[in-house]
Amino acid sequence: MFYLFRLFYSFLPLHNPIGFGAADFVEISLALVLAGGALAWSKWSAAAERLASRTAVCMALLAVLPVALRLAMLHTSPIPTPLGADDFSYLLLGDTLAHFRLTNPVHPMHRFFETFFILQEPSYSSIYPLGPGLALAFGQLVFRQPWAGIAISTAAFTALCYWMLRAWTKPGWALVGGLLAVIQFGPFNHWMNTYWGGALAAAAGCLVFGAMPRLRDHWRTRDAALLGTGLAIHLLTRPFESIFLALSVILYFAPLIAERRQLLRAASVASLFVLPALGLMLLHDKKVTGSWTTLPYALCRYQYGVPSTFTFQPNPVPHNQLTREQQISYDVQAFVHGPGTDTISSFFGRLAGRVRFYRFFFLPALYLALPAFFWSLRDPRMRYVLFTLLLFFVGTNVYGYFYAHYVAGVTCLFLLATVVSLEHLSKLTILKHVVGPDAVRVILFLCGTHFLFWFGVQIVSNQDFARDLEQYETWDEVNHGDLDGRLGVNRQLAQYPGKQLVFVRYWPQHTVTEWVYNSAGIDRQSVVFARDLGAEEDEKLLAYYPDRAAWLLEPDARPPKLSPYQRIEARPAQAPPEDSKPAATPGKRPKLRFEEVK
Amino acid sequence: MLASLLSTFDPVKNPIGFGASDFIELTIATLLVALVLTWRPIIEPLVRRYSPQPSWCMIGLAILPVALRLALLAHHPVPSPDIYDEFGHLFVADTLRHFRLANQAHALPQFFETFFILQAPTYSSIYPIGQGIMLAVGRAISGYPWAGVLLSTSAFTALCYWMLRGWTTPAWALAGGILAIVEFGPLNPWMNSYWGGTLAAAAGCLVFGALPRLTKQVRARDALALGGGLAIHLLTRPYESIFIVIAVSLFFIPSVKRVIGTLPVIALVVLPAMGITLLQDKSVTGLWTTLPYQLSQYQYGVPASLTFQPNPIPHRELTPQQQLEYKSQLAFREGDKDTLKTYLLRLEYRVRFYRFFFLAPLFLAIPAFCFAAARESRYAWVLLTLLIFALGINFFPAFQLHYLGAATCLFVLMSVVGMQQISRWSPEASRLILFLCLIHFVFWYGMHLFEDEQIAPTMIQYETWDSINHRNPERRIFVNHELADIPGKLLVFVRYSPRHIFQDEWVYNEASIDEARIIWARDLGPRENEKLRALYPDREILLLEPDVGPLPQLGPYF
Repeated sequence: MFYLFRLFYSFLPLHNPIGFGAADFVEISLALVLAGGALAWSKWSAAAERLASRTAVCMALLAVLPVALRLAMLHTSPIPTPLGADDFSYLLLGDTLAHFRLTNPVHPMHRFFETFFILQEPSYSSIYPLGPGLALAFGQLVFRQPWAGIAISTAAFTALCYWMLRAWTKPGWALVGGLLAVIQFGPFNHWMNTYWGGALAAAAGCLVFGAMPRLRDHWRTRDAALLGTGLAIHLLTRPFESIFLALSVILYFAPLIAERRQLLRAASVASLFVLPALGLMLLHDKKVTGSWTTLPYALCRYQYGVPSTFTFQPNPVPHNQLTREQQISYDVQAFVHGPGTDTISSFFGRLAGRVRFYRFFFLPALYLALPAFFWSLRDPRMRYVLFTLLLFFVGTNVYGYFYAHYVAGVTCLFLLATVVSLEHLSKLTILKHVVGPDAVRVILFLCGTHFLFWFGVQIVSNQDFARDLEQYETWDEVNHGDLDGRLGVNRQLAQYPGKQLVFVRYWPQHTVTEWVYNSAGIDRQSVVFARDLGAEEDEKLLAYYPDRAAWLLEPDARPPKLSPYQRIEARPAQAPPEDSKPAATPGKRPKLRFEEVK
Repeated sequence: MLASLLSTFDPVKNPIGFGASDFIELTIATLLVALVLTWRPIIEPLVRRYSPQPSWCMIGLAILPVALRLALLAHHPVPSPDIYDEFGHLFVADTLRHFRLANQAHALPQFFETFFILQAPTYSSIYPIGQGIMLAVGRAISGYPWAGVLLSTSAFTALCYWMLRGWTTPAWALAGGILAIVEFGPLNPWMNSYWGGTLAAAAGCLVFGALPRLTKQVRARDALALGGGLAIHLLTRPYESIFIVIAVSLFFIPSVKRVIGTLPVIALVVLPAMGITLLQDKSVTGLWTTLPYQLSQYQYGVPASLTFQPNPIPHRELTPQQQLEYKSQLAFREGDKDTLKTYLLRLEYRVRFYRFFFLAPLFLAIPAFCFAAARESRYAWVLLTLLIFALGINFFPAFQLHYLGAATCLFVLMSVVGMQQISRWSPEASRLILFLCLIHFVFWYGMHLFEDEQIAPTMIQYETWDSINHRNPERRIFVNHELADIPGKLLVFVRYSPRHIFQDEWVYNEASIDEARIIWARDLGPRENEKLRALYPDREILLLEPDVGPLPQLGPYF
């Protein structure tokens, strides 16, 4: 083991014990996986084929695999620390639901808790739909860890992806698709390493697109129920994109209009699942906003001017007094939206710009197979797949921002397009030689190599070379270390007994990174984070929490500075130094962001 | 469009969301899939058809490395010598060009003191003449000594196939020949410097290719090839020839009675080479049995002695630079006396240098070769031979890759036999290893061919063990351009500053100093310099100060 470690001692060939440079290690890894894959293929391909037909075993395997692999990385990449505004908002939603509530009462001192994507009035609530919160609440209630809900969503997605593909292609290809799902959307993926969701909507998409062909073939109640469940989960997770999903479902069954009776029966069964979800949504609206038909999201837009409107709508106007950080966030979102409404040119310009984000759904080697998908377009089912993908592509383009989870519902269709392309490529003959299978195997081996390489890097990511390599790991996002110092602050606070109250004071140059996040029951929290509103105002909150030790947190110091809060009588005149700029976040790897700022 | 795709490697800004590693992955995937798709319908039939035809294969393998290297000339011109070994070999070639084995000592040798060149009793390089012959041939053919390096490389790659035909099937031999181009062709330091390497490698091919042929059938042709190989190697790397002779003897032990009759034929070729060596000794050192190399050790204390010998002591007054070189060579040795521990530590340390002979994917073939060696004694002999070389050259405190030049074809044989063994388990696996080697080459060759100013400097730091005059001695080229613009005969005094890096030597001259257009001389102070000025009254006198700035300063001498 010592000698193995010494092999990686240096990547300068003359200093390395076997003369290897970085590129050599990459090459030998590639050779090992390719040659090992070829050897394994010759021995075990028949067994893999048999395994692929065993639905339950494959689903179990594909469910366990991403979670087990991610857990194996815990020593270097622990349970993700929430970082962004969306993370905290989803966690608040999860916490609210874990308390068996749809919203929380307004806090009497709510102006201290103003933050992003969280309503303070008429109730204290996240602005997001219920779906991802349900997953987080499940994790919190069952495993005492909200992230468990994320891991379970991912497991559900990868398993259901195989199930979905079974309805569209042969078992072997379905298993390939499931494994590709693990590689692409598993342990390294943004969806598994944040609280934003993505995997849940993707799992819902699997249910919908997996149930439809089965329903068309057999008209079974079970499949109608699964279709309804998929639609319901998607509605609760991504309401806007559910419009496109519903359109896709209608489009799929449109040619079967002659089988009206069967269709009606299936629709009735499906609606048994969709309608309660719809009801739950309305109830959520009512509880949070006070109106059955006003989404929390819409109310947030009215109050804070964010999230931005669709590009065919004018920019929203905030109706609440915004904090400085909220104002910056509003200005940025308004800038991304643009001053007016969309033109054809700006719409297509944005559409072309979004092509890059679809790399999220395809590993580089798979780009070689994708042209083969066009051969499959003779099959009307594949034309339907292409149309549905275009529908989502164009439909989500009416929003100024783009994140991969917006189109998560069709992730399984991207995988379907991939495996169908590979299947077609495998039939390729050149000069009467069947060469396709070899090419497909190589592409799959390369995907496997990609995964194993980065997995290897991740599990040793405390090494310098791993940290150097991570800059080349595109579109993955695995949390390492303490990016903006939150863990350090939390650790510091945990050392003190009793309840704490932390006033967050930003320096003048602070932008939008928010630190004031609280859970559903603020008063019961051991640590309450509050905005520093000035000495006089702060006194009111101090009076409200007389039993809490007060702290002052200055997140723009590096590292963030936590000090005892000095009350008026004890406080010397002080102001943050004018020239002290907030240091750049000491990120250990570039964080992937989708169209955050143009 | 392509430029737009490559405009940035930041995935969020790249038009298709690709980062640098994505482009690399896609390139590898494209090349691999292209090879896989064309293997059965196109490549394999071609290999089957042409691999048994030695003439076509050898011609193809001889032309290919040269053509590929010439195609790179736009970005990588003819290499400029920079290291003193290179000047030493070029000096041999220049001497041979004048149909001499040594040159008359100069009247004022103190001005021309440099590294690895004797000033007395004759003005000569310390190196054996093998590499010099090739450089002289190259210069005679094309005006460029480097053409001799190209010829050696093409001889090696062609002969590598020939050698492998004696050991394996034609298809695998052709694969080995292609591997030789990939590994030791246009991107290799041997092809991009004047130190040599490929000539000894070609000699090794002749020796190790003739051996199995002779055991199958005793033919004069093969004996001549064996003798030719031994002769060339003797003229190129005399010390390592000892190990070749041991290896050959070991190979012939089981069939000694059969092959004994070939000895006179072998001797017919080897003896003249020995005669030339002795004649060179006599011409250069005045003694038949004293190598120029040995005389340099006696006079200058360099090159270092073998580790079981005492450190040499210089018997001449050394220049400050020669003094530092002497000390640095002494530092190669860990102490006065080599112990078993220091010997083994040095041996272990040198494992890294063997990467030069195997591309990274071929490391997978090595265990497979060992598996084959456990079953076939001739492959066990290959391992033994390589061990003899490794142990033998370990007695020299410094290590250069061309010391092992002769064994290069055995390393290629190891790769080929290893892959052949893997193909018995899975033909696809061995094919993929071979493809990866080709892709390695195509990738880096493409990088040099299109040498993008933005991408190449970042990428090339990851190109290990290749060396394609990237560190071309820009400063020397600059000075040579400056001098080319000055008409007439020149005398350049070289003045080093106290912080001069001793290896950066500038005083190198042609074999006939007096006839050279430019004479480089050490600046020995105004009074001494006057002597040289008086010797060359018709020459314009210049002063070169190599250490004054990023570029050397050349100006009139006052």
